[in-house]
Amino acid sequence: MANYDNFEIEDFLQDDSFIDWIFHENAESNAFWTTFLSDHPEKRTLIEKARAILISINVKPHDDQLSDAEINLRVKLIQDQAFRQVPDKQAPIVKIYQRQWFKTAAVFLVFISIGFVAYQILTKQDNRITQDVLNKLVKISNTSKKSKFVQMNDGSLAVLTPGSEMEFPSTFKGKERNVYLRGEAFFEVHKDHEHPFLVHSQNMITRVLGTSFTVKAFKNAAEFKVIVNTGKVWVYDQKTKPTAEKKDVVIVLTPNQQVTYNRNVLQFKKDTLMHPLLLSKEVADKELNFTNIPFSTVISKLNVAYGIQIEYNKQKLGDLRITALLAEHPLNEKVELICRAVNAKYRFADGRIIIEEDASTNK
Amino acid sequence: MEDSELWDLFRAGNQLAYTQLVNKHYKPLFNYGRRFCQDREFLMDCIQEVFYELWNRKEKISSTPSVKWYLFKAVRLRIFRDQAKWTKNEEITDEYNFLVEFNIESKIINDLEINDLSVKVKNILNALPPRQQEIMYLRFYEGLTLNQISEIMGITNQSLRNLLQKSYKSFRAEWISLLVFLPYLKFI
Repeated sequence: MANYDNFEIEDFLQDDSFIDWIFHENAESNAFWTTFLSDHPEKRTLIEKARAILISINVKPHDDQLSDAEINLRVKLIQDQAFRQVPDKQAPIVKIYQRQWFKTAAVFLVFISIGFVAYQILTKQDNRITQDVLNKLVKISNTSKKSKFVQMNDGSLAVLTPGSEMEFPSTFKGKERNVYLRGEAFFEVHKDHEHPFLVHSQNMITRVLGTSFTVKAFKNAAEFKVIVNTGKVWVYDQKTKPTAEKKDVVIVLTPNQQVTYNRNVLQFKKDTLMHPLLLSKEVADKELNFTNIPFSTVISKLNVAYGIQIEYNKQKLGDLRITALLAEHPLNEKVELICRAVNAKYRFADGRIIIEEDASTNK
Repeated sequence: MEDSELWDLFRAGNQLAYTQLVNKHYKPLFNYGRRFCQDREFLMDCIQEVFYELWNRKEKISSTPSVKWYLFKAVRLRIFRDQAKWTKNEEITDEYNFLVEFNIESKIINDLEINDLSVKVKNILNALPPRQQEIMYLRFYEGLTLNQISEIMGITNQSLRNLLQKSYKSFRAEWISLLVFLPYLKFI
């Protein structure tokens, strides 16, 4: 240990064992410094000053602070991910409400909820994310090899490509409809001018009122993309929240345009597609309005347009001819219309679209 | 409840204890990571993955003297490892930024002499290079021990001490110049 007899304040400020004593008191260091002080009473003021300086060292908070609501949301996401029920064959089946932790957790939750609601009422701030917390988030991961069809409660639809996942509240509440996407999805958003629909992909936000577009935002990709089929879409970085004065930070896209967001340099690049998209209005009017066309052709056109695979009985339904104007309808209505035309039923199961002949009418 | 108790409960599979740990440490981890990670979403992904892995490996994890230290180490490692994956094609350098601005809580300081001194300490801290600032951040702000800091930063105890010596050297140099010039400045 150093010879402390000639120490000045600045020497103490650079002495590791002195600093350790200030920050991590323990019996050993206490004993040493108590003895030292009784041997060198003249050093007491020096040591007290050095101590005052050390404990007053603080750090200016980073510009980017998490709000409590954001933390709550993140904690919730971690919980959801960790506690996702994985069926365990060996474990005896105990009903969830009989488990001790559940009872404890239930009581706890009631308290937390009361506190949370009270906090909400008292503060009434930033209720965008908190509302999504109160409102259970539905998480859909597509680990299969086919695109999944996803319906949201506002009537909006998404086609989620393999290897992607998205989260959204079971019921949209509040001013905005917030959806979180990792990977790629095509969206057909139900029009609602009062409630903008926002797709969050890391810090890129795609904001629409009611249109169709694709977002590509795979976690490890250097570039994110947004491609517009119909309507108008806004894309921006969440750090630069658009305001009336700062409109230029927002990229506005119209049909058959795309924006590429380079994540390394945080820059947007906008360009127009060489070939119009199949689901853009001009092409859809030609391609998706059918007059006396075999059912199988209609299905394959839809499959190509949406990148999905509609399941149906080809032998029984394939050759039936139908007439249907589908261009202007969202995917679920398209399916409904063609089913009506051939007297079939459809159902959505686990992201798949299945068309079956109606057993009752066949007999 | 103490961290160590929560930690043991969590290792036994207690979901509430786990949630409390996440709740308690999320913000300090974010505040620390944000200083060298520019992408906040990526950072939050890293923190989430650390916690997720923790839950999945809970049977294999041993007890720890400091939960905070354990988590800081895990998150820092994850950020640097995943960042490297992204920037595979780019030149790998040892350099990184650590954005921090040290402050002195003036409430505690009311003595004029130590007030002057503390301003000097602040200036010196703010002039250190990133690596040394990270050490100071962990030491003075997060109150971690030198051993814990060297493990978090993935450097040997010896190189940590060398870095500290460097800091102290700049302390000394700064100090002398300040001691020489400051008294005169007051009279100007």
